[in-house]
Amino acid sequence: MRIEISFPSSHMFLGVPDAVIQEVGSELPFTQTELDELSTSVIEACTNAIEHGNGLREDVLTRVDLDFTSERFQVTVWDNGSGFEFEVRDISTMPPDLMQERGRGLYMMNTFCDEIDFLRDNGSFGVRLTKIPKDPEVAGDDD
Amino acid sequence: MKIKERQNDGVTILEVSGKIMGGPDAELFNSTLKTLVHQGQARVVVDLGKVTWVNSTGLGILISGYTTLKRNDGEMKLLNVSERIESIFMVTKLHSVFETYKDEAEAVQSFATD
Repeated sequence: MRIEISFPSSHMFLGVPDAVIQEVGSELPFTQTELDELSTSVIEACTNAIEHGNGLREDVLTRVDLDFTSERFQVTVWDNGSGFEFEVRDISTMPPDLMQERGRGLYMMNTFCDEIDFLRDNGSFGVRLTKIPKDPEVAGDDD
Repeated sequence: MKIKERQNDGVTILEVSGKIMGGPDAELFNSTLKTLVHQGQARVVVDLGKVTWVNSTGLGILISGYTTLKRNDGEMKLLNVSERIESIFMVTKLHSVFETYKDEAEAVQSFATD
């Protein structure tokens, strides 16, 4: 199943995809921790999209596609930017300076999600995040 | 993000609510801390009990605040960190930087023993 949402590229609306993921995810066999990890990752992707891809322009929409089944929850965040050189960027390790104020977002996405893919389509740049439930037989809260 | 400020035994408690995510949040948090430093109140407990989530930019705001207070012979400690935010601290190794507490009295008392 798919839900598509679009919102103005402003910090004000970063909570919207989080709310949708929490609502939809509550009907799927994910633990709360898994949903929070996916939500946190999507918020990171949306933050990059609104800031870097769409330049914090409220007249430009950031698009989020949510594709989900009981076996996986996949969220793709699209912006109008040129993206970055993901082919050469290492996102599997922490930034070297623990106290640096920025630069953790990609690492967080990569750590919290089971899969992360970067896409280019018709002038848009996309980040696709996938979460797979560890125990698809279980639904609801942790422990 | 909204911030309520109060005092407890010489320590400033900042009750933060909403999300910590960058944009105007950075200015609000930083200006609040700068005012406290200017007033000589550099011992701060940030209560995150009503914070729904933090993104990586929000982490930067907390780090900036921590650094500002340290530079002014003060300290910033955290209270009521949710599991969601705690997991972010673990993954980013910031749990080794921020002291966190579940009890306000204990957080306040910790300044006396520092």
